Amino acid sequence: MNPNRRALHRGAYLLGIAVLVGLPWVLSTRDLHFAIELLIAGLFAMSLGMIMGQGGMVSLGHAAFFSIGGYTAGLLLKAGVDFSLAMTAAPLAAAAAGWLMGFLAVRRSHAYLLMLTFALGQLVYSVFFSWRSLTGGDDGLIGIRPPGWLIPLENFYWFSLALTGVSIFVLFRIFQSPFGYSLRAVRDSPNRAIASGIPVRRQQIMAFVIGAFFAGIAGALFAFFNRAFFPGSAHWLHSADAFVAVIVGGPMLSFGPLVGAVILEFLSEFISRYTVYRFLFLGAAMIFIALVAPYGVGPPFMRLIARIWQPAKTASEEPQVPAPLGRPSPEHKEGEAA
Amino acid sequence: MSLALQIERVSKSFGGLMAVHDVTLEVEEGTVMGLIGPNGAGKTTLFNVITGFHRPSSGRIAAHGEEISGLSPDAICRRGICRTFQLLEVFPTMTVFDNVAVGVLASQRRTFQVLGTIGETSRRRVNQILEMTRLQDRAEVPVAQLGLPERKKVELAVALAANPRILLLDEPVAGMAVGEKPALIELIRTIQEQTGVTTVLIEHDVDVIWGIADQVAVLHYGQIIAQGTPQQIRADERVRDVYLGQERHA
Repeated sequence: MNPNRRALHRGAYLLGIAVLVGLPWVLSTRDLHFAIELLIAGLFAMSLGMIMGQGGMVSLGHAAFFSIGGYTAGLLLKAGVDFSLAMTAAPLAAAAAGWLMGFLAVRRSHAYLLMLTFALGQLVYSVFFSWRSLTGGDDGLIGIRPPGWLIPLENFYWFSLALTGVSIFVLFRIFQSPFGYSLRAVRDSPNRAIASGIPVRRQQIMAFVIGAFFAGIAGALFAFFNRAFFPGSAHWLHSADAFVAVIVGGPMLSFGPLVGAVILEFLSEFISRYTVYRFLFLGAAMIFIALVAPYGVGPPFMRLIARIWQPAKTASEEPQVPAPLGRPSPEHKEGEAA
Repeated sequence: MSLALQIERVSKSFGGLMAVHDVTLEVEEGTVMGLIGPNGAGKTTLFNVITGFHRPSSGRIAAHGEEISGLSPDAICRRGICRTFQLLEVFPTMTVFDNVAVGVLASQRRTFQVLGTIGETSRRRVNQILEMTRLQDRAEVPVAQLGLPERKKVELAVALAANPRILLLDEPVAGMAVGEKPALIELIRTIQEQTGVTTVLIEHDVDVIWGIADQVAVLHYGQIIAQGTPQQIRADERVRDVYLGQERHA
């Protein structure tokens, strides 16, 4: 990359960060609420992207980690534990649960893995729902009071922006690390991976641990933001939100889940402002996306970005976007000579 | 010459079917052993047993004097026994470079390193292997875009990236057009000569075996029925009867 282009890229990043940091000065209170929800949903989807996109393991139990993070942070804070300790304990508790779910789930693949994660996730949901003395059951864990400096909405936004920003940056670094390479290898061909000396199951369990860790951060943020936490956050329908975000954004792209979460949140917010038939229109929008961009919105988005940033490159030099879950995309047919 | 691979009275059964029966085989260090036999003779099953994909029902396998029977495939690979598959196994969504990088990272036991990058040393090793397998010009191409001969080379490169001391190649030219085979066979021969890696090769095309193997073993219904030099095997009456019959009339 030549120095001018590098400077342009840096400039674009800085501008993006400046815009995000400056949002509290231009957005209404309602929109700032939405922006915080967007950050949390983005991190939640990205954390599932580690398991589902990079690891190729379809999960419907991810909300369990989100809620374990949320309840841990909320319960500790209510018990008088320091905020920073509660914030640290939440992802660690979620990661421990991730290890356990991963340990049990990676023994199976495909539909059976989906079923196992679904069942384990619902088990966590039912514990939170039934254990009224600890979690408040259906009435929720209420009265979670974050420290005073987090009470102003703009402060909470900046805190969330910093935390999700750092988390997503770390996730990207993990995707590019030796672990990330090995995990994608396991996703593409477990046989080839294990025959190359990669301990496949341990690698997959590690993906669950990392994914759960970041879902735990999202859950803790959600608990502090709402000052309450309800068992519905552990329900499989909440897992399905992240699941759909990963699919819509493109599971094979590192930032696909983020794109998917942003699109879904915007669609949901936009539609609900004009009609009560939110799910009807949301469903129709998803059908449209599935038909028009069957490998997610991420790949065409990436091609567009590449075209804007590197207009001089020919089509063959453009970044190649792989098809999801090992299937050849229309432009990358199996056996086709390059 | 020392022994690289010792297989002692190994059997593998699936329910009532004895796929490999009482096989004893020794492969000397630095040589090429050809494994031939009709379809269903148990060649791939024997590979699966050696590389840990199947546990042997009985018997013992040792590599360079260390017992490996019962170990997991990844543990066996880390002991220097690497393989390719009859039905091609590569990482299709990744580029050629990344495919080989995975093998290199695994050989360096860095697959749990969650931060940092591949690193310059590993990049150099990947490029070395790409050069050795004549894939350097295809480094940035996703493997799904390659034709079969090049994907076969990628699988070979991934296996080589694991620093094998024993390389098991399961029908490396299967499915390739007649005209495409010699180049890959020549490449395998060159790599074997350059690295001295002990190689066990399953192949149906016996001309390939005669041209490359120092020793040949013949499997039939799960049992070794003959073992020797290519000349000895070609002259063996039983082998001619059960496998090379067509050569008699050729």
